Amino acid sequence: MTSALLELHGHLIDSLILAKVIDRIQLSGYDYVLADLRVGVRKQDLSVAQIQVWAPSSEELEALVTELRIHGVHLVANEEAEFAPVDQAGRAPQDAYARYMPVSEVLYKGRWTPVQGSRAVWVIVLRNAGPELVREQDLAVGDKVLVGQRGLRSGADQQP
Amino acid sequence: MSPPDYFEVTYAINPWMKGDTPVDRSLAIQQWNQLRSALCDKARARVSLVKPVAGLPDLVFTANAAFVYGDRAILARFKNEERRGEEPHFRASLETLGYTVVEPPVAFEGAGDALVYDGRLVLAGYRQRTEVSAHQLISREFGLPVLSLELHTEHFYHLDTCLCPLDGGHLIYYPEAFDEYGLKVIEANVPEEKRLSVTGAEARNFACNAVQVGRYIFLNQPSSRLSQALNRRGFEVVGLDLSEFLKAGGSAKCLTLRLA
Repeated sequence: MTSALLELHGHLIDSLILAKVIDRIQLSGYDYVLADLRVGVRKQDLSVAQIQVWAPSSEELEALVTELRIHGVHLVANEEAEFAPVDQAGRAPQDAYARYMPVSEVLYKGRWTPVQGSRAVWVIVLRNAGPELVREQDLAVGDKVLVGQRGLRSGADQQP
Repeated sequence: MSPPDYFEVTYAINPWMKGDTPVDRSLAIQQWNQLRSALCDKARARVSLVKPVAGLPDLVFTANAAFVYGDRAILARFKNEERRGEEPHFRASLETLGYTVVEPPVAFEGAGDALVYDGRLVLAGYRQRTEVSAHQLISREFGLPVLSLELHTEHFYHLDTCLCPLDGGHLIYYPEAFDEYGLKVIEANVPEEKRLSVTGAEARNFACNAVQVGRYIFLNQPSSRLSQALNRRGFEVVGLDLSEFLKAGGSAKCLTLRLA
C-alpha cells in the first residue's frame, strides 16, 4: 500500500472541481481522507484542499495523480526537486514551476510607486547559493529552472 | 481584429485543421471584410486592428490574444508552440491601446477561454488549451468570481466554441461539450429560461462562436431555429459566411476581441 498527500487550489467549490476529484478517487476504489479544506470566504476567493490517498501500488497512485493533474491536483511529497535547462533566453522550459507576482504599487512617501518587477512571471532557478526566484524574462540559456511540482513546499506549510 | 493577409492552415493544433480543403485566401479576406463591415455598419462598433504578420497564420483569431477587463489585460500564453510567436504582437497592440498587460505563468488562451457572464462572473474553460490554475489569476487581478468548466471534447477546444454569454443573462451553449459537473455549474448559475442549447449540427457550424454588439448577434450561417429563438429573446441575428475560417476551427467570435 502506498500513500500520498494531494493538494489542489482554485475555484474548487462552486466549479465542483473538488467534487469531481473526490468522485474520481472514489471510482478508483482507493481509500482517502480529506485532510484539509480551506474554503474561500468570498465568491472570488480561492480554496485549498489536501487529500490523503492510499493506493495498492506506486504505479497506480502515479496514474491517478497524472489523471487528476488537469484539474490542478499536485503531489505534496518529500522528493528531490527537478531542474531543467533553459534553451531559449527569456522563456522557461516546458512544465516549469512558474508563479505570477501581482503586487504592483507601494505607498511610499505619500505616493503610489510602481514596484519594479511586479506583474511578472517568476520561476525558481538553481544558482551557486541555492534556489532563487528569477523573472522569466531574465532567464539566460543554460539556467536550470525548477520543473514539475516535486520537492517544493510553500511557506504556509511551515507555519505553526 | 487582425486582417487575414497571411491566414492559412499550415499546422494542425485542433481537429478542424485536419481537413483536406486548403484555405481560399481571397475568399477569406472577403469574408473577414464582410464581418468587419457588418460590425461597423450595423452595430456601430469601432474596430482597432492588429497588424498581420507573415508566418503567424492564426494571429487573425484575436479572441485568444488576452482577457480584457477594465483597463487591464491578461495576455495569452499559448499552449501550442506554433502560436507563441503571436504573444509579443498582441502585447504591443494592447499596450498601444493603453492597457496594462499582465502575463500568466501557465497556459491561458485569453477570451477564447474566459467569458464574462451577466457582468458579474467569469465562465472559464480548461483542459484543452488553458490550465485550470490560470483561472486563479482572473480572480486575483480583477476580484471576479470564476467558474471553471472542463472542456472534454477536442472539437470544442476553447470555451467560446461551445458557449456564448449574451446581454440580459442569456446564454447559448452546446451541452455535449461539457461533462456532468460543468452542466450542473451552468444550470446552477444560469436560469433555465435564459439558457439556449444548440444541436450538434449547429455547434459544428460554430453557432456558439457568436459576437453580440447591442441587439445584434453576428455568427456563421445560423439555422432558422436558432435565429428564431434569438429573435424571441429580442436579438437581431446577422448571418455571415465564414466558411474559410471554420477550416482552422474559428468563426465570428474567434476573429474578434471585445475591448469595451
